Amino acid sequence: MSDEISNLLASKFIARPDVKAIQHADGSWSPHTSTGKRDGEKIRWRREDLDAHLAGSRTFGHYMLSTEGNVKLFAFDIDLEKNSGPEIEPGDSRYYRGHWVDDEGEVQGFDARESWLDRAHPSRTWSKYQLRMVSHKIMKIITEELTIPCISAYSGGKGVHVYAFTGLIKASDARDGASIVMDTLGGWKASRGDNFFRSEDRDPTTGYPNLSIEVFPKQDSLEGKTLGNLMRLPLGRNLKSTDPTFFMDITAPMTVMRPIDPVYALTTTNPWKTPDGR
Amino acid sequence: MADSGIDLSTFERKLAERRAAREEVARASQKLQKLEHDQDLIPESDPRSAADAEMDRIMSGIDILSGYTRWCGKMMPDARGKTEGIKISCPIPGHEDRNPSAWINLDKQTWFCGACQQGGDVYDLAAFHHGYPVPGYKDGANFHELRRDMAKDLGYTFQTLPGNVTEIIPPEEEGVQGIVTTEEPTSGDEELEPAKVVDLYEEAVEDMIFAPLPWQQIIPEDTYLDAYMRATTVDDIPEEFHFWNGLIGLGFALGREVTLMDYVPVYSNLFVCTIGRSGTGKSRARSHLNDLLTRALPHDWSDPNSKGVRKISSPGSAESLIHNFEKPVEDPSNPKKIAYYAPVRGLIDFNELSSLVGRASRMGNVTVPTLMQFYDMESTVATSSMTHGSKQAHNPFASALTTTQPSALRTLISKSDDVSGFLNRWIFVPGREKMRFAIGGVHVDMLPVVPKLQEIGGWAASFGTSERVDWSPEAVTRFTDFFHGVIERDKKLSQSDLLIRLDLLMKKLILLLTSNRMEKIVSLQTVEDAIACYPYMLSSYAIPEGQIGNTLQHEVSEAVMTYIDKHPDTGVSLRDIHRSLAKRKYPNDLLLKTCEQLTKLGLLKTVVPKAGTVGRPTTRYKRA
Repeated sequence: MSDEISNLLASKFIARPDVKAIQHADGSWSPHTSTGKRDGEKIRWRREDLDAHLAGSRTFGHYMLSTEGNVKLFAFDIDLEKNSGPEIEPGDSRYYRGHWVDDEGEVQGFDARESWLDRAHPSRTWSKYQLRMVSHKIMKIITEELTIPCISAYSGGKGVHVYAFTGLIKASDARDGASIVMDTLGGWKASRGDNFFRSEDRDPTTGYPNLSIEVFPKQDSLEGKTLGNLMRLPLGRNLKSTDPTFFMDITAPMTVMRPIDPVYALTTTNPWKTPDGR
Repeated sequence: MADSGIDLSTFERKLAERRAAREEVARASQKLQKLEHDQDLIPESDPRSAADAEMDRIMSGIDILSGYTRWCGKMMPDARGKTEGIKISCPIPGHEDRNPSAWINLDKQTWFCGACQQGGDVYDLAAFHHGYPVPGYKDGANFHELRRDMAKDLGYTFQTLPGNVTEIIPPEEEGVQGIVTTEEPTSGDEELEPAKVVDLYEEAVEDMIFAPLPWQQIIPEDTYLDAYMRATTVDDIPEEFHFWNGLIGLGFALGREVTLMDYVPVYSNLFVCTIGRSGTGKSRARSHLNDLLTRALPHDWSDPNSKGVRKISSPGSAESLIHNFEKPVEDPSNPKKIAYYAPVRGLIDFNELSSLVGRASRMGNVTVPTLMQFYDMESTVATSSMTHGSKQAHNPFASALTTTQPSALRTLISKSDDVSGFLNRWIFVPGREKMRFAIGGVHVDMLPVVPKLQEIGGWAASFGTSERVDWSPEAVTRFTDFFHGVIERDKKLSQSDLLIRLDLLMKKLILLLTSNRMEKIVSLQTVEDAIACYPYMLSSYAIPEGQIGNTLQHEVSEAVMTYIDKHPDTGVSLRDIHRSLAKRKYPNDLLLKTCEQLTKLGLLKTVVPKAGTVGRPTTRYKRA
């Protein structure tokens, strides 16, 4: 089973086999090298690395672009936002304070990201609903508009990833694909460049002000760079939060994040069907 | 259907629709530019970004060495072919630094002062000069203003047009072609004068005189090269760049499978160095080739039989270079064992030839000899070191692409003896500049070229292992006559090492042009086509050749003056000079010529020997 998952992860995600990144206990990343230092000899992907990643003993990330500028997927990183600090005042475009809607329909203030870490926080269901909803919409567009396979995964940290699998294609084409999805989704405005999006509707009852979407790959090619964008490989464990990460069953109720068999998730062409065919 | 089994047909259709929509917007925007400059009709964003792009282009053309001379000028840096560790007096105001304690790195385009433990780039140099706070100039509007000041120092002027459009007008003597110059209207109703395009080609490339490349006459219609040139020549980049890049692409489709019959089989790989001022489109021309290779011949690292092209950007060492061509294939019965090494086709891409040649003179660096092995198509290229172990590439097929500016050639070829064996493996490609688009441009679509190149790849695959492209009897006769009558003569006349491989380059061109027609026999017509390109190739070698002459003379002058300055009282004889500079092996006649020239220029004077001195009187030289 583990071998099958390793093979699937390698074939679906890894476009750059000669180098990878390793996550440290503080959540930071660095290229995986023989000496542990940045300038050491880089260690290519090996089966034992994938096994360690799946076992949760080590966590690896993959550099999305091959040296030829190709990728195997494009992805959306949907994250819960952190409240801006006191130095940023209302009126500033960077200003943000989280709000959620309780069972009574009342709008409550919170820090979306901070609250997520507290499993007992009453806003958790609301945040799950929002994350699921946005990922659901993105997946619907990928499946219906572009007709390519896709899955969503809990990142084990502060949000959800949606992966759209293309096979080996030019990164610029993948970025165009992601742009089509964002354009079709509508209501999300690019800020800080063209890879980061915020909900235009800042009303928590109708929009998604608690979330941001980051699009990967962020580069058309590796021109001038040696490594490029890095994404955490799904499954395994997020060493910062220590949460496990898993592919999500999108047929589950919208307020629930339920794991699904990874082999099924990575091989199905219709994520709207459950493994038992329902 | 992609290799991965994913059906991408809908995805690709959507991408095509998106591209078409984007092109439509670009076309509409271009149309808008052509309308008269009515304030209401000018979109605000595009012209502003065009001006910004032009500023970026100007800034990227400023070399740190010339920037130091222009904005600091505490001393004249002497690069002597080096690309790093070039000594300079510290540019920081207040640090007199008579004994230079700072240095410049040309590869990184930075400077650093060892005494102050501070460094920076060319912007800092200009900021010191113009009195901006350093590093505070990077904040807010200061940086914008600094860039403007720098451009003004280079002779550019700025004009604000209606609609708050900034126009950057180049200095006339620079001869930047195609920048649209306009005059501001005297009233709102008056139409602007029609755009004037300044054709200053002759001035812009005064150091680069070369014969025309008659590509239109030699490329048959409906061939791969025809498609490549049709697709690329719609832009404003010199067409010569496209021609040679197109040939590189063709060579990759042929690989090691297709060779030309000769004493040693001739392969189709090329090392091409485009020459042109900054901003002429050297990099953009390269991007079209990259685009084509990615689409037509993508490399699949997981497939041992992949005939796609791997792109290798500026490998830092021979190990890294070979590593990119090293493709071990595991033994299926024992994954720890390597069954064999699969061949790899790779395009080695260096941003600047000078940074590459700079390594040639470094002790122990083997990048350049390794590249020469790749050019020579050796079946195994290997290296081993204590730190990286052994690396080996089997049956690699490598072409290389780089660029340089005419002015950089002067520095890079200064050590001609060391690097001529390397440089004569390159074809130097100057290009006739075209009228540049002031704003926007034309989209270059490489898609129609893709099937053509793939067709050549399929044709190449039909070659048997011992099969070669052979010569027809007429082609043999014509080429033999041309070889003895012209090529050999030119080599002798030139006495330059750079021309040594000119006949090999001609044969490569013949192989490529024959393959472009998908013919397995070299025809008389193809030989004639290659001969038609000969004047261009010969004159393109003359460009670096001319730079060598300038460089050596300059270097000898410097050395002579330095030596004479050490003996201000007695003066020195020609024999003294020769003895002191013996290690540099300058020819005697060159030393004599240099001393005579320096005397004519009034920098030296000759000392008349005293009457009655025993022995033959010897002329001595002193500072004038």
